[in-house]
Amino acid sequence: MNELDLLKKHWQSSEQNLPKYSYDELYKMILKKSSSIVKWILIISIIEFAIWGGLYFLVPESSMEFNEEMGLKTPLLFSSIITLIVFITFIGIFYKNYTSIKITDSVKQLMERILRTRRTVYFFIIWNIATTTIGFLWSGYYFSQHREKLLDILAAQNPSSVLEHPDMFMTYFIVMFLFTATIIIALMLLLYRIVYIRLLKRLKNNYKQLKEIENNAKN
Amino acid sequence: MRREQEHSFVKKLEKHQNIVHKICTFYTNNPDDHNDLFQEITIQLWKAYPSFRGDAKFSTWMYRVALNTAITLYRKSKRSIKAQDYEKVSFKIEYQDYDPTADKQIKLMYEAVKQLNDIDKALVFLYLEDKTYEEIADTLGISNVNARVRMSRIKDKLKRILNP
Repeated sequence: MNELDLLKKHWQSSEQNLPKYSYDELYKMILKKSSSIVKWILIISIIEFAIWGGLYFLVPESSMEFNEEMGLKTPLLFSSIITLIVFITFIGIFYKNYTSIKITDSVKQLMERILRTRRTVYFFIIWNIATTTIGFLWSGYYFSQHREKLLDILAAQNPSSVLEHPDMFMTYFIVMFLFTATIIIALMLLLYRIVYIRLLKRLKNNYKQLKEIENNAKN
Repeated sequence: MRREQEHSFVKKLEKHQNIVHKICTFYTNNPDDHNDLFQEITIQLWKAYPSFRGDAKFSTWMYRVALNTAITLYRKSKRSIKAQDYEKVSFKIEYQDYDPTADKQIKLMYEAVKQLNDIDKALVFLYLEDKTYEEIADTLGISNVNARVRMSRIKDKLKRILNP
């Protein structure tokens, strides 16, 4: 008899030592709320979609006026339409993937479906970070190409410092602009990594183990 | 209608709760985590109950939902896991003909099994529950051959741990 069969014999004879819940205790349990990772994935994903969606409504009035004066109204309108289409598409894919998660699937299928659902949000965030970065870089380039116009607008808002040292002011403006952009993008990446790693680390490790079983058996 | 469904579910769960307890024993290391996982498995079983078809065995269906919850859905609480905790919930040995050598070996076996990763634990768990390789492969979503190969490697691994 091998070691595992010895354990099997013991395992099957030891049921009497298990705890036992009463009917009432079990009934109370089914009324409680789940705290599974699928539930957290849904909550976090909704928050992420809401944050990105909400950002578009948080643009201050002064910034809109500034963009209009700089001649950015049409490009911004165009990018907003694309963003909205992409946003709706991502939500549609996310919803479809989320509803496909079934606890009665095999362990592997369940893991794949959860990872696919989460991957949709991951790509959504990557898309947002990429477009935000491109947006910042393009704006920086656009401002440097329309230096005079930018200085005129800024001078109207803050005449003394701009008119006295236009070059210094321009350098300061570009540096601050890029610094803010870098901080925003770095924060987004950091937040995302924290949430993603915390939530799915164990699941990903287990999925890797399952894949390894398949790969090792082939070798 | 809902009350009837709740009643029939709780009755079935009450009868087969040992399966859930055994999975909790395998995947947790202290009584608090055991209860947390039991609670989560119960919720998941209840949520999936409408999809349970009477033609399948309730216990077979339970294995799948309970293992999926333990391996995939359950978020371990902050009450961290300490290796020595396992003794508090591992099965006590009650031999009629007490054999101290076997006792020590069983204890070492439980310790060794506790050190396996979540997937290997599932394989061992189903093996201990006397499931066929078809059932093990089907529950995990791997092929029958892969399940056998892996199981034989786990046996070797356990042998090495016990006979260094």
